[in-house]
Amino acid sequence: MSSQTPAHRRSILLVRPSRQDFQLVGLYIGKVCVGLGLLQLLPLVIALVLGEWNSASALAVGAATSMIVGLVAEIRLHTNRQLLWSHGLVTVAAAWLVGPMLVAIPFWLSGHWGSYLDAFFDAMSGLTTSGLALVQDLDHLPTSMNFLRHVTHFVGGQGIIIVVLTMFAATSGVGTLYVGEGRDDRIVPNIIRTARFIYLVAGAWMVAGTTLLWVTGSIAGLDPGRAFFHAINLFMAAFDTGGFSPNSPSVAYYHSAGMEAVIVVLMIAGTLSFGMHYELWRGRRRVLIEHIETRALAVTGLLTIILALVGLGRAGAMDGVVPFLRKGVFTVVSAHTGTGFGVVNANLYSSEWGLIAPAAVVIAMALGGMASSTAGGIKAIRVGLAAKSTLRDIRSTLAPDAALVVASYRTRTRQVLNDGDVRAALTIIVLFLGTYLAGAVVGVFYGFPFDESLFESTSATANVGLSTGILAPDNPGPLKLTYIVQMWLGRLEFMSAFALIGFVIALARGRE
Amino acid sequence: MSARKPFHRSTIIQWLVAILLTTVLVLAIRGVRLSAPTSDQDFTIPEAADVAELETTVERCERTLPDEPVLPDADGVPNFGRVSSTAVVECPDIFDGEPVVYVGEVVGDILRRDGGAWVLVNDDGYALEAGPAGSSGRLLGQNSGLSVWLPDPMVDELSHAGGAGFRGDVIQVSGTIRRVDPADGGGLTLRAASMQIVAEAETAHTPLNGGQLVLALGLVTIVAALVLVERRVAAER
Amino acid sequence: MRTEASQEQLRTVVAVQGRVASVVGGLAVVAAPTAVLAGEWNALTSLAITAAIGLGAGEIAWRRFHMTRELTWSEGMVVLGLAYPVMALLAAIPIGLSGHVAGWGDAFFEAMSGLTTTGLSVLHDLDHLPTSLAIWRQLLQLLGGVTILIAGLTIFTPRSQKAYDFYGVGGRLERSVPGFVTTFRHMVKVGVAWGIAAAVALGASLAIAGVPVARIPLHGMALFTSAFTTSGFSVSSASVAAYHSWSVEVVLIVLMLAGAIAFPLHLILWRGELQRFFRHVDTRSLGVVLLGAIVVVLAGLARSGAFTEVGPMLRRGLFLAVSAQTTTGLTVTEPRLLASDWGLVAPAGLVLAMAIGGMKGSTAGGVKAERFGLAFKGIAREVRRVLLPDHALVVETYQHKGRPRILTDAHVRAVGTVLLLFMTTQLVGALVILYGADTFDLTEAMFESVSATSNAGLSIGILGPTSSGILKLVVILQMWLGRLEFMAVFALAGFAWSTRRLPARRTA
Repeated sequence: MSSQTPAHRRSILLVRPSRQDFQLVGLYIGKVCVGLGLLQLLPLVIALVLGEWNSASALAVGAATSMIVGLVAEIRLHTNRQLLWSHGLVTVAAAWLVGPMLVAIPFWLSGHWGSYLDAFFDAMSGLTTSGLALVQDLDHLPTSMNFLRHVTHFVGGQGIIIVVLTMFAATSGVGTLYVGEGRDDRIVPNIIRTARFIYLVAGAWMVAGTTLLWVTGSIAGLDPGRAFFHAINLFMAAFDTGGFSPNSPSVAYYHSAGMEAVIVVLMIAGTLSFGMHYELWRGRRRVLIEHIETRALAVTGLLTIILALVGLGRAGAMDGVVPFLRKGVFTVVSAHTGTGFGVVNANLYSSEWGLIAPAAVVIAMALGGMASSTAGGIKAIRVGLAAKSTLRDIRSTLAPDAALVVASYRTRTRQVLNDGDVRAALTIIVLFLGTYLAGAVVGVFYGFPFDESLFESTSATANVGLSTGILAPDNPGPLKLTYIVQMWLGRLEFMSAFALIGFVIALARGRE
Repeated sequence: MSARKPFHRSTIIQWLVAILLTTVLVLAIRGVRLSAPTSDQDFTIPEAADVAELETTVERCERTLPDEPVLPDADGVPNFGRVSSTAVVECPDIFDGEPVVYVGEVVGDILRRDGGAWVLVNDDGYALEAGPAGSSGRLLGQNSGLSVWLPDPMVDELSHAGGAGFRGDVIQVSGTIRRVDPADGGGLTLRAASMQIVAEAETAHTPLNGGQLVLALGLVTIVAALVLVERRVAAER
Repeated sequence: MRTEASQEQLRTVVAVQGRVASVVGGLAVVAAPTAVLAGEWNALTSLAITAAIGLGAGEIAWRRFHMTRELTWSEGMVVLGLAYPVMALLAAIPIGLSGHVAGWGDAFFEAMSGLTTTGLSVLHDLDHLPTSLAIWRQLLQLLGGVTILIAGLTIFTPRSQKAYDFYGVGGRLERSVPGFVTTFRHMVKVGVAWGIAAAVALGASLAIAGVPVARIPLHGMALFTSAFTTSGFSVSSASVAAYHSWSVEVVLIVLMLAGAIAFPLHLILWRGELQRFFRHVDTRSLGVVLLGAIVVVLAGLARSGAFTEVGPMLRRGLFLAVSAQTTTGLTVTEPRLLASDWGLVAPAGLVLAMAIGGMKGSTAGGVKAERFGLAFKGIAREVRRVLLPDHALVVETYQHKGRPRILTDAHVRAVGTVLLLFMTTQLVGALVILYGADTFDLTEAMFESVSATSNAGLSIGILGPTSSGILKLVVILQMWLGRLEFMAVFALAGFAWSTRRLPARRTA
């Protein structure tokens, strides 16, 4: 039993990217850029209509830049090759880097962001449907620019990729891109039909949601034109679980229980996966109720709400039951669905809410919403799988030594719990938790208290958007960069990001 | 074949007997504890009242980054007078290098070396008020104290350190607090410049708990009896 | 599939508990002479009571409920889970009668803390505690340490697919342990050897430190049992700071590290196979993690400005980092100083070190360094899978017992589950602490919570005799769960639940 093999051998194969792989990835990123460029035309129109000339020119520059980059890529890198899964992952990760870079241009030109880094931060925040913001003087931001902020939620939520897909003819390999975004729920077999369905559902909700918000907004005292503006923006932020709001006090601005109620419904709708929407659409409520994600979400949601209410009670932060429930429930739902709307001033989380209620909020943020939706965080399916796996282990200990314990769970069909799934889920859970912690450490390093740093870090990684006040334009650059990286990693659920990094490293090591 | 078991062997009776015995035993132990006699020695130190009152109290203090330690509202008064160990430990930075007065009981071991001795001096309730917990029966939380370095001539005056059954010498020292004492490899210490004995060491009488003795003897007897019975039964078989 | 506890199983479990009780009783007999020597009569009577109850009730139970066959693995888990509360109940008697605890709950806490080799204390006035009771506390640590080591070799070994599945113990099923008796003999041999070496080293250092000769045996024994079983009780309220001696601290560091090394590795060391020792994945994992902890703690200390010179910083930081990583809990700094003077990064480093813990198969607690390493490998494999062409298969291996073994899905799943369970327990504990004392910090709450779950015993000054009852109860649960790595406790709970419907008893 001497040392036979010198060191332990590993059988790994790292993809050696060729020139053609690089071309392929670049091409699709180009397509995304074109899509973004076209999208910036919408706020541009609004700017022209409203006479916001500076904004208009900024948007024009942004749109043009995006289109130029995209078109150049399309021309130079044209190829007919098929996309493989690993290409898809890399493309998605890169798109979420390049996209914000381009969208940051009009932001920066508008003069409301302290530096390009700040503008990049907000662009990343918008596209990853996070909702953390570094914009300065939001209350005086031109309407068109404000609209662009919310549009990034919509785009990032429905997937930059999907935007591209429905506008351009799809090639057969494109299905893989969709998977790369961390959503693997093929609702309908054909990827184009999937995309179209997503738009249909989003559209229906948009009509209903905007109308309701417009009504309640008007009741709350906004005049009709402004009410519509707020309604549409709030809808995009809520349904895409983003969290930008047209004004600085977030949803507290409206002082309206009606609007808060509508928003809660929209947030929950936003955290439902599109598969779930599809089932709802088809009237199959049973699937909804038996689904492991619904159950996991219901359990954790209730637990965190209870914990938050207990914490608020203990901290004595609220007088009277109604504000107590209203603020507490809204905030927890906002956190759990990954939206990030707030109804209290950010600083109050650390000063008034004690420690348990913010802890409940952090837990809700960390756990996140459903997979295959715009929510972030660990996601309900993983929580559910981890829980089932542990329960199975316990049952297994008690069964006679020879027995085999089998556990199953329901998504749209009954599935058996296998080790591979659980292992994947646990890996991602650990990665998320590690990232939450790492970001907290960075915050502490810059002198912020640990609890608040953890809050902020979790909010960024889970793409939520609630803040305790740490995030500010005068933060040190590395801290902002940390949050940017966290938002990016969280949106992509790590794997795509690793794929990109691996791709780049392999490229650097030399071509084949 | 399946004759009924005799009544006193049936399961229910056995269970009840077991529960009864356990309850009695538990109550006996509880009773023994609750009726534990305490010494009526007076451990208060009248002389300690002559020493200045505690002047500086500290609520909460935290060292964050090097240039900005978070300090409580110390009004910059350099003379802290008599301090308590909890205050010093809570905010060592403001006491660093400052002359203070400290009163407490020497406990543990007097570690003589290098021309002096290290002693642990406690200023908790057991030292200055109630005396050791076993004797007084009063429970006043954990021990709290400071490490004090006494140069040689002072060490000779000490007679006995506090510990099991002893309330050690109560001393008053004047000296300087060292937050990071190089002689101690970085520990928090008080280097004494002068010392006086406030109260001599006393034996802390822990009166024998008669009830407990009776219970112990009783139980041991029972066990011994059981062993004998068992031997006999085994021999008969 | 659920198993119904049969009458027979219940009787078997109770019978073994009888043996367990007898062991505690026997231990009390061993401790009694020290009470005589010290003239501590109340302590003597309380030890006598413990001995009588332990031996008496123990033997009665053992004979009344015969054990007719060998324990199955599941039963072994149940027995182990139950053993700790049973031992603690008995061991609490001398503590409860000492007059140094506020109530029987605290006595139970103290006993559990010693038996689980944690080292958190709720005693009042430790500095005046009768010597024989101080020795009793130390003996409890010894008993607890030996218990978990034996359990590690018998119950936790891959004797069944279950253990392998849950614990993700490396490799296939194999009888890597020659036999129970032989193992026990080896254990005693190694323990005694270390004991003798420690006696000499500690004796000399304590003498140099100035401890009176008559007190050296007491301090030496206490320090050895605390360090080698990675427990953490000490005789003085100032813990190791009381000695003001770097040589004592160095010896203790060596002992703590020895305590955190798995027993099979001790055998390898004994045989002089140094190369094999250092190649082992456990050693490497622990080494890496320990190094990381030391770096973080020292960096944090430097940043906080708590020390201006390198020497003191190294001395204090190194000792505490090792104490935390090995989950011992001996300290050279006042607990409150960790909060008030050490900044934020250094205590955080300590928390992480405690959370990760020592080696599996030793008395150390925590998630265990090896699992941490395997979790990393698992993630690396997942990532590599992402980068491959769709059809290739990724195989990851790691070193175990000199041979590469495949990192299977089941293995990673097992590791991940335990990690999650630990983290959840730590989090819940921290929340309870926050609730019970809401003026305190989250970091401080996490510190205590992690310390309890990992059976470390370092404290930042929150948990003490005056803490609320609920808090102490939660901490007891954490110590218990953490020591047995959850499974035994779950097995016990499941077993207890299934006894509610026992099959009817047949009359003889």
